Amino acid sequence: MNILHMLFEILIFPGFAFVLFTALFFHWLDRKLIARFQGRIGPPWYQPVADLIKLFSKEDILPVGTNEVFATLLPLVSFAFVMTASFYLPFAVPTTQSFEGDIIVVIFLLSMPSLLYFLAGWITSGVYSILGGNRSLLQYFSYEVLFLLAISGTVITSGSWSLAGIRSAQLTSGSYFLPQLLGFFLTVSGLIGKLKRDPYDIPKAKSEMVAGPLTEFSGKKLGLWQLTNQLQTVVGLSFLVHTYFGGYWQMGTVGGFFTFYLLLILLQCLLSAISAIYARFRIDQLIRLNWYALIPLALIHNLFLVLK
Amino acid sequence: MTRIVVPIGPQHPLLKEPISFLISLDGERVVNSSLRLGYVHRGIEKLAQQRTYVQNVYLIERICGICSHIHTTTYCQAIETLLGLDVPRRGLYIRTLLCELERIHSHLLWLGVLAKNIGLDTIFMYSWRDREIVLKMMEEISGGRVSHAVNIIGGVRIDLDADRLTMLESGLNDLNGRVEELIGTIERDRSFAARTRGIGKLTLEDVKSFCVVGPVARASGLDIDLRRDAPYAAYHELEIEVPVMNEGDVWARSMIRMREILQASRLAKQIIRTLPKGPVSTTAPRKVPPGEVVSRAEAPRGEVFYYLRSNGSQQPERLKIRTPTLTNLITLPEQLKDVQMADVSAVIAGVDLCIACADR
Amino acid sequence: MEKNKAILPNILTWARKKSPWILHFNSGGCNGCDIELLSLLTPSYDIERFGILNEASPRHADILVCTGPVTEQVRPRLKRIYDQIPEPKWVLAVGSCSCSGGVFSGAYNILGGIDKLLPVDMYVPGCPCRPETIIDGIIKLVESIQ
Ligand code: SF4
Repeated sequence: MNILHMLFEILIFPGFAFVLFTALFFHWLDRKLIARFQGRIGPPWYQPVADLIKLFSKEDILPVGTNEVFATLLPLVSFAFVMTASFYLPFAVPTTQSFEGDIIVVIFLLSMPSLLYFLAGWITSGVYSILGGNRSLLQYFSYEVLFLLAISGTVITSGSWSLAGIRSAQLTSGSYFLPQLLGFFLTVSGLIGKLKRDPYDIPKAKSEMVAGPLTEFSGKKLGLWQLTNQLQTVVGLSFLVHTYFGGYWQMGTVGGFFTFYLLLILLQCLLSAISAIYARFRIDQLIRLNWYALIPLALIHNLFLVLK
Repeated sequence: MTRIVVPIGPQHPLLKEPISFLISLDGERVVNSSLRLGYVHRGIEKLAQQRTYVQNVYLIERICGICSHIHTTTYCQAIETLLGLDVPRRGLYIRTLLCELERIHSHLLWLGVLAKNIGLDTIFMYSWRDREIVLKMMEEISGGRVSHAVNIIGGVRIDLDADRLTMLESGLNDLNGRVEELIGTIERDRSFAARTRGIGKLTLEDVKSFCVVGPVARASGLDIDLRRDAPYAAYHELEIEVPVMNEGDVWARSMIRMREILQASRLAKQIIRTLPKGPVSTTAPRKVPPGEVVSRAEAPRGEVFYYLRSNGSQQPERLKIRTPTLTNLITLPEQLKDVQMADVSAVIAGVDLCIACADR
Repeated sequence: MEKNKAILPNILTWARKKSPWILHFNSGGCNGCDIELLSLLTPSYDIERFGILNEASPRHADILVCTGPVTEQVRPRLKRIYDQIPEPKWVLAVGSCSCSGGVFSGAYNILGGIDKLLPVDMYVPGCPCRPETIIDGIIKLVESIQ
């Protein structure tokens, strides 16, 4: 009985299947929102599912000179990393035990796909893939630092290195969102880099790099890569909810559940709006922006929090 | 770091038409580039020699879908000069009107392409949405969205009644508001400026030595415009101001083009207001007396040049077409030197290539 | 068991019908059809509501949309791009000149129609085609998927 219950929790709710469908739903939401911002109608609700099924049923070809084993393993591994991260970030209902330092684990798990993304570009033999991979690595060194610095603001105020600790600290002190608005936006900026969305979509910029490291992938592998990215989006967003809006936990199970999703949707709106408004950065502009402006800002912000 | 050679084209999302660039990169910096043309070469000049003058009007229209009207205008003009034909003023005015509408459509299209290339999809969507207004107007008066088949030798095929004129007037007013909004957006948008300012620079000397034409030349401070300098059709009766800027980068080019849209819609309104009465065309003989003629017109991208030689039969003996893209294309390796890889797309889009024109 | 066998292919066909990704290639046309094809992406027509995306890489695409009579230079490229598209794939010929050569038939440098080189699944005539016709062509092609 207990085992069945556990299996259900891991595989269906609030585990694997549930998270997956959330990811697909948010991908649809994203596309729909951007379409609406641009004055279009946008795709129907089942679009991500159809895309996924179609991609999985397509022929899988790789160019000559590509390491087959790696090409198959990379998307799988990066998918696994993000999936694991999703277990540390309970979707609405607390399941896994939180431990001191799990926030570091989540950050690590979330940044691994970027490295694998770079590798994906490196093992395929196309020029665009290699260049795109290079760019993703260059970019990695700016947004990752920013993300870490910005998120540590919440750690400093709460005095805990665990997600549960940060959440419970917010129960007493109120959500960190308003008091740390600056930190929140810096984190969002880092997150956009992680997700490689507009305007940080330099590695896969369509008009220059075709599709970046993924140019030569097709069929199942492409589907898995896209799924990874979609999953990363919701996981990243729920990470934000946990760290900056921890107070929703107070609402009880059902209330908490709905508030959680409401917050996720609002955050997705923010991301989509940013995507629609800004032009893509150039890589040097991005690095300059991050190292000269945003990272010092995050440092000052943290210093301020420590002194307070 | 070793150099990487990036092929762009013939199939590449940056290009709507096949052309091939080979770009050598040192890291992210472009050190060298070469281009290869001819993917769209269909042999229209040769084909034109095998068809009659009247058939050719339809062929010439298919040189390029974006500036289809300007090609037929130049072509018909050439033959009318050879025939010594007096085209009725009303016909000339309607011809000019379509030239200007086409300029608006082409420039809005261009803005969309540039915005898409720098990753600003929203502006792409908005400018193409507004472009639909012009397309609708052109469809209303001619029956075609991008190819209009309006010009015939000796005038135009269509006439405008009072209803159409009011429709045009209100459409242009609507468009003006939207274009001004678009201009405001791209002028204020910091990310647009960050991706277009200071790249793809051409100085006045470069422009002169490469014989650059059109908005690219005007953005570098060269004050040329055939509509004013060598008026054709009805332009000598209209007031034209030519916007000129000195920066010579992609930003200046986009501003020039945006101003030209406003200017074109002013011209169109002028035409609607002062449209003379009378017939729209005269009948032209099928045979053209022997002789040779040069005909020029200001297309949205610059000067179009036609040379026509006739031997007295129904078919031209030689038709030579030179389009603005061909001259502007040559500056690309110069412009691409030392820019970032990410800016290559903006630079290429900034010139407003029309490969179908260049290759014919 | 019997039921399962029938359901799986049904789901596959459904998915394929609902998410046809197109790759646009100008095989030597005059641009007229290309800009009409591009305007499908924009608010007035918006093909994303049918699940159609304009993809950049041949490896991601399902439908190759060609506009143009296939010039000699473009010909090997077209073949290569077609080969790069993973199965199952379809070809859509947009414009009179890609159906038969159109106005250019008789020119020395063209092949005269996509179907001389690739198996074409659907023809969209018109010079230039209106965007509505192109949408109609894509939808009809998609509906014919078994
Ligand atoms: S069908 Fe006509 S309009 Fe379309 S590309 Fe061919 S020639 Fe141009």
